[in-house]
Amino acid sequence: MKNKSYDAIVIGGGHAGVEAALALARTGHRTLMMTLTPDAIAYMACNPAIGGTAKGHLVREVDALGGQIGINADATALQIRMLNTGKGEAVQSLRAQADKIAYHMNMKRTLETQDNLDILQSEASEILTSGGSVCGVKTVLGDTYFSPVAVVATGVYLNANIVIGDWVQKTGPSGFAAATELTQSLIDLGLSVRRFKTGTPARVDGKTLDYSKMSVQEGQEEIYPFSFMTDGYIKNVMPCYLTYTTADTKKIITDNIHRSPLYNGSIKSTGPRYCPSIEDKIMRFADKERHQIFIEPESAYTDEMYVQGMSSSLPFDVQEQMYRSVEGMERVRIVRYAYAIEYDCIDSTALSADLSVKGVKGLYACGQINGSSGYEEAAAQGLMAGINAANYLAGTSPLVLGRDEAYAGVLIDDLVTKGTNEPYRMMTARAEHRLHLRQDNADMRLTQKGRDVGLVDDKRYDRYLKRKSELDTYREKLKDNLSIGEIRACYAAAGIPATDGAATAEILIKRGLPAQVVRQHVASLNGCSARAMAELATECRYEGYLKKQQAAIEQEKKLEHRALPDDIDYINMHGLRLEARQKLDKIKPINLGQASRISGVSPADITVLMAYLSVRSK
Amino acid sequence: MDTIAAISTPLGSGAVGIVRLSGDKALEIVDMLFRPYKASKLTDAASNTMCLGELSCSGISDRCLAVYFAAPNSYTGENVAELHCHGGVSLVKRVLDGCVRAGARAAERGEFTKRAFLNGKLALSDAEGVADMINADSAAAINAGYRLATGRTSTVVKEMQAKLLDSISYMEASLDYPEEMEDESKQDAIHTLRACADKLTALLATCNTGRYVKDGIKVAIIGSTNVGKSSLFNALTQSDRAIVTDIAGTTRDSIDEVIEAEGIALRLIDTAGIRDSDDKVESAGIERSRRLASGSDLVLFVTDASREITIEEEELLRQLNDGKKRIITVVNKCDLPRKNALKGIEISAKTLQGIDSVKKAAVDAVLDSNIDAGAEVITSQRHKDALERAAGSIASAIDNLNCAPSECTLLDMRAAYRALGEITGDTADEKIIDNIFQKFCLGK
Repeated sequence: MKNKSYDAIVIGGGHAGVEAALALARTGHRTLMMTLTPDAIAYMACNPAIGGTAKGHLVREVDALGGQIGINADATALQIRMLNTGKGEAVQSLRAQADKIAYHMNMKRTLETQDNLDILQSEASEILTSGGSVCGVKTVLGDTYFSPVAVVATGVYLNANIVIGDWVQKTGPSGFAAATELTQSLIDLGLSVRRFKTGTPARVDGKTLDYSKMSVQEGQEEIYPFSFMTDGYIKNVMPCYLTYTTADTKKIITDNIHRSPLYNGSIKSTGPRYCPSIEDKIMRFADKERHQIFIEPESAYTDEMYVQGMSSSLPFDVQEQMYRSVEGMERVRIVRYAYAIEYDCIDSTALSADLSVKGVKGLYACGQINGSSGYEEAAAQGLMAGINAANYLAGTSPLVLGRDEAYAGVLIDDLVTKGTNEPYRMMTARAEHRLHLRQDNADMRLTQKGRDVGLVDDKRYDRYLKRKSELDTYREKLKDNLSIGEIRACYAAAGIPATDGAATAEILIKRGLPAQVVRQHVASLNGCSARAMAELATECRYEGYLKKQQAAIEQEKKLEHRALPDDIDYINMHGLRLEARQKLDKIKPINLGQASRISGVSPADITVLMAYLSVRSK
Repeated sequence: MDTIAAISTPLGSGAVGIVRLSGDKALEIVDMLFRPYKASKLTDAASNTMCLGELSCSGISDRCLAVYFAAPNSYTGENVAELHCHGGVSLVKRVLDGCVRAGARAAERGEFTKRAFLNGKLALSDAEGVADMINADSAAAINAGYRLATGRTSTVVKEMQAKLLDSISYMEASLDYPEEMEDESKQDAIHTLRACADKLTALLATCNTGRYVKDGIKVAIIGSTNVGKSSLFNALTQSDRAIVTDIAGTTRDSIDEVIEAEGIALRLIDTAGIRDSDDKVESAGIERSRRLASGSDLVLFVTDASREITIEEEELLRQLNDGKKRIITVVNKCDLPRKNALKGIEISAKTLQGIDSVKKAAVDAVLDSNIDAGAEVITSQRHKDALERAAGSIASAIDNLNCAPSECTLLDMRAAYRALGEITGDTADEKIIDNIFQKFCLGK
């Protein structure tokens, strides 16, 4: 059956799966994307939002490499904001409310119009291998599809359980079916499977909310969109609302805590600390009077509203009381109850840095199955798994992004090196090269790499080259001495008493003059775009700190450049502690830097490895 | 590994001098140079067993003992051989030369211990402790080394790290969750940063004390001729190393000896007395004593109770005082009728009266406070470097807290944390290892 042979099969059509499938198809590989239902393609099962701190950076990076999430978010955004504008540019992130129905439809259409890509409704039951390499995927119907590559992107669907109070059902999110057979196949392939938990709040009928008791959260105007390919600004069409829990909320939850599956022991799987359910927040932070609740629009096509900050697995009757205790929600009618969901995922340390499964050629895993959480984290992994599967098919070397090159690099390195004991969320604090990994320079960091792997088309590449040349040109001009007239004009326009003496634009910016004022009043900078000017000003302001950070990067690079051959016998290595022997043997780090980040490998163990390397090299 | 060789006993005229070899060719080389009386070669005899025999190399021959330790059961984990020959600088150096001609390489400083570490015979923390203990001359220094090894110094640093970590986390959280928390992290950080700065200042202030604990106190014995400096030296060292006569100017070169007092090493330097025969030489003598005094931590100014203080003694004292030296005046010969009005510790080197008071006074004069078992004293240069870098980063963080965004301040705070981690072992840095190994003596 020739039509059942593909270059690659992607199992799952969520935020990881779609990026993987598009990356493979766009690099010329005939790709089949299996999904339990095409109605759940790129479905936003939780927040109807894309971006947020660090996550916004990931979206920009995926976009810079030629991925789809940024374009799709821009096309379907209901409002957009830049977070952290009170802090430095490096930690500012975009966050957009996305229309979840439009988001799904737009992404599905993108897949359908993509050459080399077929969508198939089916449930994968087994990954077939031959001689240690993937050779195909079997479905629950007994059908077999042949392919040397399988990318597993099953999200939260593997053996998923929905929990509301003492009601438990074997089903996926939001009423979609769960996948029940693939887990055994993964175990048979040598992967260790774990159980994670996450949750989502209720969706409520917007017509039953009293918005007059809440404060309106509008989007911001004139914010650059996620994608470097989207022109103009995002229109803000729907607001969010901010409200608070009350003393009643606290009482209702405390009185009923024995009925919470999280507290009475019926949910044992690991949930994320950074995304606690409302019962968790109330119990753990008992002294906090109230908690903020954001009401977010799900879609322009529905009245349903998302109640951010109130995920829960309490029984339905407690939920009803609880939601009604929130200011402005006294008469609320729940459309969909909040629930916790448990699902199977793998221990991500079984993966190599290219997201391939060690020991099984052609098998890749990305997204929530790797223990991460979030659409953006999924998309970044999906894209990288897709790129690396494509490189594998083409016989070229993997693309592994460094921790100093991209948040995506930090994310994947953390997952495959440290592993995670809870659903992993990207945070700026995890990126030690944070000042450099800004969302504004994502294209400068990554678009050339995307071009090299064949994902960046001419149009995107042209934009990148134009921006690069603009930045390079004006970066030099910032160093030119200004005329006295220009200096005075800048100070006058900024309303700051002038300082005498020669100055360059760079110096003025470092003295705190607004970059755009300088741009307007310095003749040689008039031609610079506002966007490029803002980025150059950021570079100026961070300069001293970037040097400090660069020194730290250089220091670490020394470790990164000490490669660890993969034939090292860690188990019998003298001087290593037992835990370190086992962890190193399991993870087989590619260099000392990676080894040093493995939990359970101490600095003393690293010195033993250094010692080993210096002996070996002689 | 190539074969290294080194003289592993102190260079001097000891009874025995040991040359040690380690590496692939260690046994081969020793077999070339040494022939046991009761076997055709050393390696025919049992490992770890001393053999008597004949050593011949570099044109000399010596009746000596030799032993080998087969890998991996040796100090370095490699094949190790030792030649125990008669002491004496030139003989031992010739034996080493013979080893090098036979294919060994002269070991670098600390290389035997480095190999022991590389071959997994020694953990890094042990290595550092060993380095300090090898060099320790006094009980307090050994204790300080021991405290380092057992981590009591690092407990204080860990506490600081813990506080810093809290502030860092708070600040990080406010960056990653801007919509969900009121940001008071900077107000929190300033308290932590100031507390850390104070603690670091206090710790760094102990570095001098630490140096005395580790390296001992240099004490110069200075005075006019024939006031009994050498007698005091001998009384303090309980030896007769310094030649004592009643002829002025007997001591022509300064001699050193290390004694222990109050758990601290005192490095005594007996100086030539100042001649008063003619003005030129007298001023040269004062100059010479002043120079010796300036290189010391403490001066014992010795005078003679049985005679009046001289003009040159007054001049010397004045100059020493100008040099801001710590001075203890020791009035010797108190067993004789007192004619000298100078105040000081009254002793008699002859009857040993007051000798212990001199030792105690010397230690007290230099150490600001008594060294008790619980005090954190920074003795290691590496630790001092790390604390200084941490203090620098903390100072930078405090300076920039209010004008720079949090992510920039965090760079400094994290750098401080990392620097402290070099003491507690939270961070690995290749440089540290190189530094440690440079501090080792050859051999153990």
